[in-house]
Amino acid sequence: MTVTSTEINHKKYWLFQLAFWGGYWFLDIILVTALGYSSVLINSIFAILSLLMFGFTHALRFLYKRFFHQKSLAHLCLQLLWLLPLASVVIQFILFGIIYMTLQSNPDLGQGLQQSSAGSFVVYSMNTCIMLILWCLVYLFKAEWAKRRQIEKTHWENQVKLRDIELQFLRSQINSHFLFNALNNIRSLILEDTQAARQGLTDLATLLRGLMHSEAKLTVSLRDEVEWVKGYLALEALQFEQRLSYELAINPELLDAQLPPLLLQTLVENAIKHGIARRRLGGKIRISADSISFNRWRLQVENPTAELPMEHESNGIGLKNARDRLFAAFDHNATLELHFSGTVIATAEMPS
Amino acid sequence: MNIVIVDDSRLARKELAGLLTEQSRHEIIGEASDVQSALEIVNRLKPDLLLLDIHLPDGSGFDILEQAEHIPKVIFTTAYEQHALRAFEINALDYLLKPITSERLFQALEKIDTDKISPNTQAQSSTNRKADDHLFIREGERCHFVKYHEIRLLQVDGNYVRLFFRNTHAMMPRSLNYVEERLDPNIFFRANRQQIVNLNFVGRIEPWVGDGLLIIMQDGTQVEASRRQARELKNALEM
Repeated sequence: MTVTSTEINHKKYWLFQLAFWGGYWFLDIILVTALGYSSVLINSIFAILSLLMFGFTHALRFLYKRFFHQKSLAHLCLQLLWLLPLASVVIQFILFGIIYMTLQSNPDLGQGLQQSSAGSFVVYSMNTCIMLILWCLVYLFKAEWAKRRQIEKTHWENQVKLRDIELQFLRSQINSHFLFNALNNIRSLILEDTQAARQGLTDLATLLRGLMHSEAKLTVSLRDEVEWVKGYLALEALQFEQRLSYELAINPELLDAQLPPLLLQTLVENAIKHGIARRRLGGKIRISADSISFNRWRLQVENPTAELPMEHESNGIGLKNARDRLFAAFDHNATLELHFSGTVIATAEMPS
Repeated sequence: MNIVIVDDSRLARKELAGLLTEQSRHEIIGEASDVQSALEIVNRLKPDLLLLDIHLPDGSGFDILEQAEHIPKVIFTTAYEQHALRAFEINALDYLLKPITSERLFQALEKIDTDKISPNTQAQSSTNRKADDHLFIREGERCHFVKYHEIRLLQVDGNYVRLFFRNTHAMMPRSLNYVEERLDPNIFFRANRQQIVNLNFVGRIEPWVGDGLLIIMQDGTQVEASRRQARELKNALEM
């Protein structure tokens, strides 16, 4: 059987109750012993008092859980202002009642006991009230802290879940759009140019294989990534024809360098979506990979800017996704930045 | 039907054109690959139907509908069920998912054909044929195709016009005068500088201060007609 956090909390609570009121009783006995008043009767009275406090605070906890858990702390304090004094008076009243009844039936026990008065009742009640306040402070501090932590935890869990769903959704959305356009274009191409249509299907197969494999891997070689991107660009060329041209400048020494799967593909996809597709005459995409120091290299994708400013169509999810994958692969050792200056240049820097 | 195809992919246009040759009663009278050329072609050739892709290099298919002087029937073609298409009320429009099958295409075309030759429309004379024409309105995320005869009331709203139709309303970035020119004067009446009412939606009319009239629409909206307009309204109603 698994132990849930509620069960652990329950156990903690009972231990806390025992320790708090047991401790209270223990301190009382030490105090009266030191003052020389200690007797079986006195010790029993304090035991009964501790038990009463134990019971009453348990009732307070019940009230808190039942009625005040969702309320603000200020509201709770306001209620405690009358609840605690009332509880103290009731506790003392019961205690006095028990003592009175015991003494009635057995007057011998009363020897050495001070005569009680209204004044002492008030003092004892105040004493009890202070103990209750102390208890509340400790309990509420723990309870509120746990509550806050729980809220924070759920909040973050929800954030993470939401983002995962968002990423998956957008990822599938983008790919589906591209995929069905490609299929439609190949379908048309079958009538126009069978050879080109066959090539298109081969490119599509390569790309799909790449996409499927990419899910599991943290990094792939630049060689593999470039192969897919060529297939991807060939398929996009069916859609954009002469509007899309591209230039690849890859330093051959870097072909074995590692990068997160689909990183280059994402950058090229963005370059097409936000650049080429948004221009009537299209344009050229420049893809380059160079070393920038003996252990770092740089991947760049440059595209012309859109003809018209984009409407709220882009929300940078693709870029954010790419950054997350870079982070997963290289921690803080990699960067991805966009520069706008006539053209848009996406630059990723990674360790080689 | 005279059809114009708008799609930025040549192969996609060719695919559609190929499918359409299967039925000789449809003729492709033009093709466009972006918003600007599409607007020019639509305004010049006034096709019956647009086969319209949503993503275009210099805007979207919606931009064409919003700016065109002549709004043909529309079938959207898209590679993927766009979020944008969900902005429409259910059944407000037809769309085809690429790759498009000839079966689905001709189903959609047939639906438009039957809409067009409904007895209601056929009986109407050429002057009020406008009543079955429609407007395209995009307001924020919501898109509407509104038939002219569905509009109850048009009202100036800032620099624009707010249209009340069906159980909703939407704003159009045009002047009231611009819209008035396109309305059938037999049905629509300019009650004052701010408002135009559809006479088919008038509930009752009461005398009003200064020889004016108070038009109470079927939904309870009150529209004042000035003295001069009141006289014209009386004439119109007598006819």
